[in-house]
Amino acid sequence: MENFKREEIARGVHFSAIRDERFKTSRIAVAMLTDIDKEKAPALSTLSGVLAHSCEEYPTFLELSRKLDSLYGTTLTGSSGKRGENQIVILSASGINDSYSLDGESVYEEMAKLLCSVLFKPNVKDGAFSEEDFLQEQRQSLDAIDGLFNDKRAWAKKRLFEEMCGNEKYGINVLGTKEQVKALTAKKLYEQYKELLKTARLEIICLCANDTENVKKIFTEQFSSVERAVDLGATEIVTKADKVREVKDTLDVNQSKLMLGFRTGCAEPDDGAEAVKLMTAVLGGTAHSKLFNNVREKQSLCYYCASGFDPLKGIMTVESGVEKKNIEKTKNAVLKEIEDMKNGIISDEEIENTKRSLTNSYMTSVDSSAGTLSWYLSQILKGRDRTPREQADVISKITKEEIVEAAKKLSLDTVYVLTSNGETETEEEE
Amino acid sequence: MNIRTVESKLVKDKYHIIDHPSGLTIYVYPKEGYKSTYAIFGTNFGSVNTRFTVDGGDEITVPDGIAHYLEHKLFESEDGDAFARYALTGANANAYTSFEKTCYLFSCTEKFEESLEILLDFVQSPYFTAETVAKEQGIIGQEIKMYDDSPSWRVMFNTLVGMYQKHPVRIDIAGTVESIAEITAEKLYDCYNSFYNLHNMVLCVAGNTTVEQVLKVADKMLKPCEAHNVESLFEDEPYEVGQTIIEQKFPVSIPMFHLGFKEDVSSGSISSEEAAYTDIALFALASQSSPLYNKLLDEKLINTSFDFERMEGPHYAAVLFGGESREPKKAAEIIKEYIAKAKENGIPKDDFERAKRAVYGNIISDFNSNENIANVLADMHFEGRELFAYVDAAANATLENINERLSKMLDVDNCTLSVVYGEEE
Repeated sequence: MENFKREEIARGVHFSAIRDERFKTSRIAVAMLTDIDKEKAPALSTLSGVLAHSCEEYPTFLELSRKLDSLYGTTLTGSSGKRGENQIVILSASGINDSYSLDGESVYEEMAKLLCSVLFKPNVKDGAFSEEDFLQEQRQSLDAIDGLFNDKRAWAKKRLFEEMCGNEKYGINVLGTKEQVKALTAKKLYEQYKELLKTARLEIICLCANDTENVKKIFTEQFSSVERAVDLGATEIVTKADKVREVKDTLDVNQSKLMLGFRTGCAEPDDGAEAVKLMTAVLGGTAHSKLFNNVREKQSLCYYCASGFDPLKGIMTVESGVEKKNIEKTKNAVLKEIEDMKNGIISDEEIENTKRSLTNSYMTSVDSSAGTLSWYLSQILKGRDRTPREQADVISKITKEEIVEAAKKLSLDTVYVLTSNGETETEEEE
Repeated sequence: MNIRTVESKLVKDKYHIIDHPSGLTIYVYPKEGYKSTYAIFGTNFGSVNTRFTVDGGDEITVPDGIAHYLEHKLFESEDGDAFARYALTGANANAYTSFEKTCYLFSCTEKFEESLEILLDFVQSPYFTAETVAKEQGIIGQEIKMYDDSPSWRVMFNTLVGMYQKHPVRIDIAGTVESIAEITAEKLYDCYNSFYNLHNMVLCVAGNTTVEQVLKVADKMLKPCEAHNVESLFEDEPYEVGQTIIEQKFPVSIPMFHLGFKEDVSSGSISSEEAAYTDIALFALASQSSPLYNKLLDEKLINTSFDFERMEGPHYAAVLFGGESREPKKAAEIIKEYIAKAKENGIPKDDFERAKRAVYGNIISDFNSNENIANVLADMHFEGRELFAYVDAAANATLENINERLSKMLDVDNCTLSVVYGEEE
């Protein structure tokens, strides 16, 4: 990867610089990874919000927001999510390049300082985050947990993973429960924060047109006083489902959601995961895929029917929104397409079309600053250094036999259905 | 052929406007160093254009949701669908229908000319039969139901239903399961032949491309056509909102609300300058650095999902504030009070300065994205505004401009509160 430099600046802390002059903005992200833990996860999720807002120099939400807006709408965001069976907390900043400022001031340096400021000098009193900051983010977390239920497609996905991976760390929802979030305190959160800085794997990535030495120096200095020890576990891969679990929830909905979860038996860094990626995309990753053509276009069963693959965990999902009476019919239609793939019913054209489509999405992803940063972060975390072109080349070499092999390894683990309470006249159709 | 180049010192970019002999206006915005190209081909025909006349002929009325239905069906032609053709170039294609336009788009990193050829070809080649039309009922029926289950979509639409008494902006873009059942191939052709005229359309291309490259394909593919005078008809819409409050029970765990201000459209659509001033005024009033936002947050009446937007189209304009809230009515009262006070006293100078810088910075950031650029060019084309004039206006705005603009908008006695709430609230 050209214009890319990564170096260790403290134990388990790496600083990467990406020089790119195409964008009108600069972006810095600090990614912190830990093992996912049911007890600690909600604290880290709430912490991701506190980190983006708690600042000794600008102690209130209003003051910090004012500072950011006067820096031409610079953004400072904290997020938390799952990456395999790790929890990842990302604190990131983005702002316009200095050459676009109206009065010639340096936005980039101020932005980098602010990011360091919230990360290393949050608003702390007596060994705890300020009560105001804490309560504010605790409330945001509680609302976010409730908000999950508002989006039924996302809700169905969450429910699938809870059921399918109930005995694996992957089944942990990082937002946690409302009881867990209510039990948090400003002090507990501060202790989590201290522990995070000491034990998380840290990747700092700086994407900009400027020199990054200064920013690197600030981070190096800050970490020189932190005693670090990183211990990051691997993701557990369940290779095969023993039996199919069927789970149904009922709610007052107009459209039923069907979610299928499959074990693929293969996950990164295993090279076989590339064939699973391509197999998943041939099945339902494009507007010319098997599911799109046969379940949507030919049978008019749904508006969306798509497959997705998490290469870190080795799970493939298929999701669709359908009429209640068509749930079984749609499930069978999806399973038929998978059977076809197992039997080698895949045309060369389908394979070539999907390879082109994946190539296009890899190449396009780095035409945005957020996309570029996330491409590099994902490569770093995978321990790889592929460019989008190199990744496309890996995909292009996959053969039909490898796709069929990948399909043969699929085992259906869980069928999740979210549907309405009412009677349905033709449920037994088909 | 007339080609104009528009340049911006602030954005440090330029783009080209081409009046193509076929009647089509083409925008080309090259982005140096980018690997991908994004193209969008749109017509000024959306969900609100359900009654119209062509060249002064008889009035034609079509079913609700037909523009969106046509969008789906245009992908199909006698020898297969457009997605299958794009599959050969690797382009990622899509389309969308809004209140006032229908757009077909793709983004690609290879075989741009072939992909553009496909886009221009299938949009100019309608093929509707009774069978192909019937097949889409189930697909769009499920799309409609998906939106029926989306509280964020419902809360927004209910606001429009409450605000507008006659205007078709109050009707769902995709129509209803009942209204789309009335759509026939003939009706699709009526709409197609009226609105899919190159004089009524625009092509915007941004990214790794040049004027020469775009023209090479355009010259080959565009079929010159005569301009028709298509006039959309709208019933007179009263100034007043129809309902001040509209509520819907929904399976949600946290209520959502929108407070919609119905704007005065008696003097037509706003200029590039007025658009910039409006955006700065709204940012000063309701962004995260505003006193209003912080008051609502401190009183636990909103969470960080709170946001605002303005919308505008033929004979309608509105500003919406909203998000999740445990106490929507209280939040709405405070928003109204604050706006009334701001209109009376003017926006404080510091709030204005910050809002101006933030709005300007956000606009500059938007120029990173081919997709943003092409879509905004298409929007502005149909709205009769110019992109760089809008940037200049934002950068040069004065407090007087903003307060003057504010005085003409956000009538606190003319708004609708829409709420979706769950079982327990």
